[in-house]
Amino acid sequence: MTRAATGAMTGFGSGDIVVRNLTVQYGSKRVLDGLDLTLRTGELVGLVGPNGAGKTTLLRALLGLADATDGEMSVGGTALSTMAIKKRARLFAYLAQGGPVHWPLSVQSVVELGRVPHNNPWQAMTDADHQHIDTAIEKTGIGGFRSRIVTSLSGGERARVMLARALAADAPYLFADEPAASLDPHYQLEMMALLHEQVDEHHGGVVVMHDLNLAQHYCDRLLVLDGGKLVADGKPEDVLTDKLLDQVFGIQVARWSDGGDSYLVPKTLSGL
Amino acid sequence: MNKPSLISPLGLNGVLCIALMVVAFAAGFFGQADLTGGQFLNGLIGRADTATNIIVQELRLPRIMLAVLCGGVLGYSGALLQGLLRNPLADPGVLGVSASASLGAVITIYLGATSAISFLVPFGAIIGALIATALLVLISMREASVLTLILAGVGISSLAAAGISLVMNFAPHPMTLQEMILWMMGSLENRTFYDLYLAAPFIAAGALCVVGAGQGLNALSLGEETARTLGVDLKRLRLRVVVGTALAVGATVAVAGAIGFVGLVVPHFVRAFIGFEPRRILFPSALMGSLVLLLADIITRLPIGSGQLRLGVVMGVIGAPVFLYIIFKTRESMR
Repeated sequence: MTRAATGAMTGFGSGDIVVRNLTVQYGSKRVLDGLDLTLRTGELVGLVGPNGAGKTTLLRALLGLADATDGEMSVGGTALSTMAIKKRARLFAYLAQGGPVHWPLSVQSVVELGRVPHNNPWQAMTDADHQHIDTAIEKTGIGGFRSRIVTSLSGGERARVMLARALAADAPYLFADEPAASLDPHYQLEMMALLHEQVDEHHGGVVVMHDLNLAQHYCDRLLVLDGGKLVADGKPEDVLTDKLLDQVFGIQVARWSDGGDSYLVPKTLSGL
Repeated sequence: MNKPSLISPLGLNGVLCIALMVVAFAAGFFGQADLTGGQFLNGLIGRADTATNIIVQELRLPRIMLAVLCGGVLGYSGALLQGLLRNPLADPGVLGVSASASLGAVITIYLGATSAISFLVPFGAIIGALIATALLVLISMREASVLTLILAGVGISSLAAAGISLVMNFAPHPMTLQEMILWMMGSLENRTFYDLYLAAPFIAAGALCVVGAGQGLNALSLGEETARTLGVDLKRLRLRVVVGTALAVGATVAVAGAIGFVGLVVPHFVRAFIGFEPRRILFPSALMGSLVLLLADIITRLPIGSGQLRLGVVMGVIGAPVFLYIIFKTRESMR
């Protein structure tokens, strides 16, 4: 897990995402409360925390889908608030949770949509576009059903297609909202492995997750949100302490290790 | 569901273009006066006798051109609205845009009651279409459910129909009333180049509004949020499609009356050939719309109708069953 260290030094072309005092308020409810954090390429960051902690809202604020009440967000020194939405779309690819596909489109057509941020409305796709599409299809192993209709695929196949769509954008940052949530164990591992594989010196990822084992095995760094505040930030093994799990999730866990990897499973609610 | 497209989009466009030219040419032969092919061609270039010249150039030619133009607008608008609302049942007619345009036009006819302000009829129709489309977008922004939208369309249509009845109730003159009724049945009969000149600028303006909208419609296949993260300015896209279709459909309704179901049926057929990608079906839908309206207009001129058949009626008789069929087919996805 040394990717974080190397990634911090590179990241040219995009630069770090710097969030300062980010506050998002809906009515009187503060969903995000003065968040400070930095995200960089070269690492897969897991966003964990209880339901309603503000994980999805953080992604939405970065993507421009939720309005910030206060604070600043910038990428490589450029404020997101002044950035054209097409430019922002080229920086961040978004894998929405259970994102819909409204028409029975072919797998190929869906993946091609990943290139929308890079093209003018009247422009045909270039060779470079096709290259990114092919690479994404290859990486996710969906080459065998390019011409199949997305709405007829199984949940696992479909998840890979949606990931390929996000990867085809070749954005410096990929935001994924619970990408493994509705998948069977096989596809969960596969999805997390794919997300981890796409991270390199020019690419970073931020993943909202609930499964703490997947989070600690596949993420280089974990951010723990609770009540709209950042309560922990660091390597998974340093973050997921008994104390934090008790405070944030209100659970006691059992731990064991197998072949050098450590696992935890929720045992009881705290205070019982 | 898993069948590849039958023909490439380019191939379909080519086939439709050729079919359109053939049918447009053939449409020149249909009418009250019997003309031979030679007479029609000579009439086109002004080399026939005076009567034939007039029949061809001032009656048949503008009628054919209007059918092509209006059919194209209706087909394209249907494909656009279906893409924007992600709903195969969207169409200017089903959603009440056409009825509202009719209301606007009928009010203008009522207020004018003479030809003095007949040039304002398109404006009336366009304002009616704009109000209806804006309402629909407001509703679809709050709730995107297919059922809500269709019901809203039914509501808007009913309201417009009630308004039309009200205006007719107070028609100042039986002639005005008859004018309104005939006009509402939709027709391309006795249209001249004047009608074409009247509609064309609005249709051109509408077309300008929606240039390049296809990419946004494609992105919308993945839902509104993902479309926004792909860099689509949704508010702008909605506004462009709404204003664009209202301008063009309003102008179409103004010169041809209320003609339903073209926008609904045509994209459905186009998808059967080239698949569901919203951008790809736009242009073929315009071509097929033109073709369908030309054919329907030829039917109105067949001897079986003894010249009394109205274009809007013909389209309704063909289109309504297809509408029911599409509802039947898509009922699983309707919630």
